Amino acid sequence: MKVLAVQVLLVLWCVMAGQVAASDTDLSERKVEIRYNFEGSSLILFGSVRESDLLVPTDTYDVITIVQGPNREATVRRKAKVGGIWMNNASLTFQDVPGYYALSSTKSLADFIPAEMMKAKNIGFENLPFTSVATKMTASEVDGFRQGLYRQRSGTALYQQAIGAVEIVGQSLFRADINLPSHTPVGMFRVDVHIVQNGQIVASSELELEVDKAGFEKGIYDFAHEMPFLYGLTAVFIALGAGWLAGVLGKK
Amino acid sequence: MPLYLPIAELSMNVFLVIGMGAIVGFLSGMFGVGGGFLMTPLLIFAGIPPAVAVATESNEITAASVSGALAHMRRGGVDFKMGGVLIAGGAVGSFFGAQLFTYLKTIGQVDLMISLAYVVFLGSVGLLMLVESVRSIRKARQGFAPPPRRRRKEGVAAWKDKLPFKMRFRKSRLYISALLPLAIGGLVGVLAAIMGVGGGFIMVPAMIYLLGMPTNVVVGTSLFQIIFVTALTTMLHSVNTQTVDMVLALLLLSGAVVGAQFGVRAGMKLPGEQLRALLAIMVLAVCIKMGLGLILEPDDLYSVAIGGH
Repeated sequence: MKVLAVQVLLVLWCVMAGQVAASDTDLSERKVEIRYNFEGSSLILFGSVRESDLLVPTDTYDVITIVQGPNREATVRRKAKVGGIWMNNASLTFQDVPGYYALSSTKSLADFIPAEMMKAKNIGFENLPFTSVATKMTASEVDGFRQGLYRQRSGTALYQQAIGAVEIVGQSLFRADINLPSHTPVGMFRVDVHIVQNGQIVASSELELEVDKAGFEKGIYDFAHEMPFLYGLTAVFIALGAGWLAGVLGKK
Repeated sequence: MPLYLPIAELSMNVFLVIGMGAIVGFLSGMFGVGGGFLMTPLLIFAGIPPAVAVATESNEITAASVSGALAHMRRGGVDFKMGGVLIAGGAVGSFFGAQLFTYLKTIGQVDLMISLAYVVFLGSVGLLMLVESVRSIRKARQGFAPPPRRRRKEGVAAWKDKLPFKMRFRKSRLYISALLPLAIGGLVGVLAAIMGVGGGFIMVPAMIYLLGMPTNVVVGTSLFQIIFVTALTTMLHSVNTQTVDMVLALLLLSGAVVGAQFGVRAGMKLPGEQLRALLAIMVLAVCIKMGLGLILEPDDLYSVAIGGH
C-alpha cells in the first residue's frame, strides 16, 4: 500500500516537474561499499545542461549540487558548568536530520540565488525542514542547538559547503567532487542538482546514492546487531583462545 | 595502512592501533598491571566513541588476563574458592554496572560518569601509591630496609569478625565472612562495566589490606576473577548496546602480547619502589588528563550524541 502511494506520488511529481526539464546528471558510482580498507571515498558528479533549458542560452548559469542522507534522529547536547564541572545539562533531539550534507556551488550562493528561493526549495542546511521534538525551548535556543549540530558535523567533514567547487567545462558540462569521509553513515543518499540562471531554477535533477558496509565489515556489523548474544560469546571465546595462545607462546 | 573498524564505524591506521596495544602492553608488563585504565582513555583520546572503547577494552582484558592467570595457576597461585566468591560478587556488580551504563548512555551522561570514575579511583589509588613508594624510597636511602609490615589482624579486623556467613578459604589461610569478598567483587564488577578496566588496581590492595590474603595468591586470584567478570561484561555490552568491536580488540591484543614480553624484561631491571612511584605518576597523569576535561571549558559546548540507534 505504502509503496503504491509512493509510486503515485512519484508519477505526480514527474508530471508536475515536467515544466522544469531535468538536466542530465550522473555519478561516477551509484553505490559506495565500505570495506576493510575504506578510508572515505571520492565520487564525481557530472552532468550536462541542455541549451533548451536555459532562459538565455548564450548567457552564463550557475549550478548547485546537494548530497544528503540518510535521515535519522540526532540528539544534540549542551554543556554547562554545574558545581565546577562541565557536564551535559540540556539536550534537544532533531528528527530526520541528514547524517551527511554536502552543498557545492559554482560561486557564492548569495550572488546568484535569492534567499526566498533557497528557502522555498530547501537549499542550504539552514533551510532544511527538519523539526525538533517538542520542548519548552525558545526559538533562539533551538537555533543554538541547530548551529551546534552543524558546527560539530562540519568539524568531522560530515557537513560540507564548498563554494566554487562545481566546475563548468565549456558551455554545457559541469562536474563536482563528492567527498565522503571514512565515518560516513550508511544508508540511502539523495543527490540534487539545480541549474540557476537569472535568479531562477531552470532545471533540476535528482539521483540516489547508496552507501553500505560490504564483505567482512558488513558481516561483523550484522552479526553484532542481529545475534548480539552469539556475537558476545564469540568475542569472549576468541579472547580466551588468544590469551591462551599468548601464554603458550610467551613461555618459550 | 587504514582499517575500517566495523563497530566503532571509523577508519584507523592498523599500525597506530597495534602500536597503542604494544605501548600499553609494555607498561602493563613492566608494572604488572592489567592496563585497562591506560588503554580505555587512550582509545577515547584517539577518537573511538567512549562506549565502544569501554566495551571493547573489556574484551581485550579477558584475553590479557588468561595468559597471566594460567602462569599463576601452574605455580598454585590461585585461590579458586576465594576467586569463586569474588566472581559471584563481580557478576552481580557488572550486571548493575552495565544497566547503569546503558541508562546513562540514553540520558547523555555516560562520558561524564566515565571521567568521574577515572578521576576518583585513579586519583585516590595513584596518590596512595605515590605516598607509599616515596616513603619506602626515602627509607631505603636512609640506609635501613623497611621492616616487613606485620598487620595485627586481631585488632584491625574486629568489625570484620562480627559479619555473618563465615567461610573457610584454605589456600588463603583465612576464615572470614563471605560478604567481604562479595562486596569487593561487586565493586570491581561495577568498575569493569563502567570504566573498561579489569579492576586489579582496586582488587589487589583490597585483598591484601582488607581481606588479609597472603600476597602469593593475590595476583593470580585477582586475574582469575578478572577473566570471568570481563567476559561477562563483554557479553552484557554486546547484548545491551552492541559496542564490542572484535576487530579492534584483536588488534590491540596482538600489540599488547608482544609489548608485555618486553615490558616484563624492562621491569626486572628497575627496583620495586621506583617502579611503583613511576606507576603512581602514570596513574595520576591519566587522572589529571581526565580531570582537566571536566573542569576546563570545552571548545564547543554543544555535542552530538554518537550512535543514535
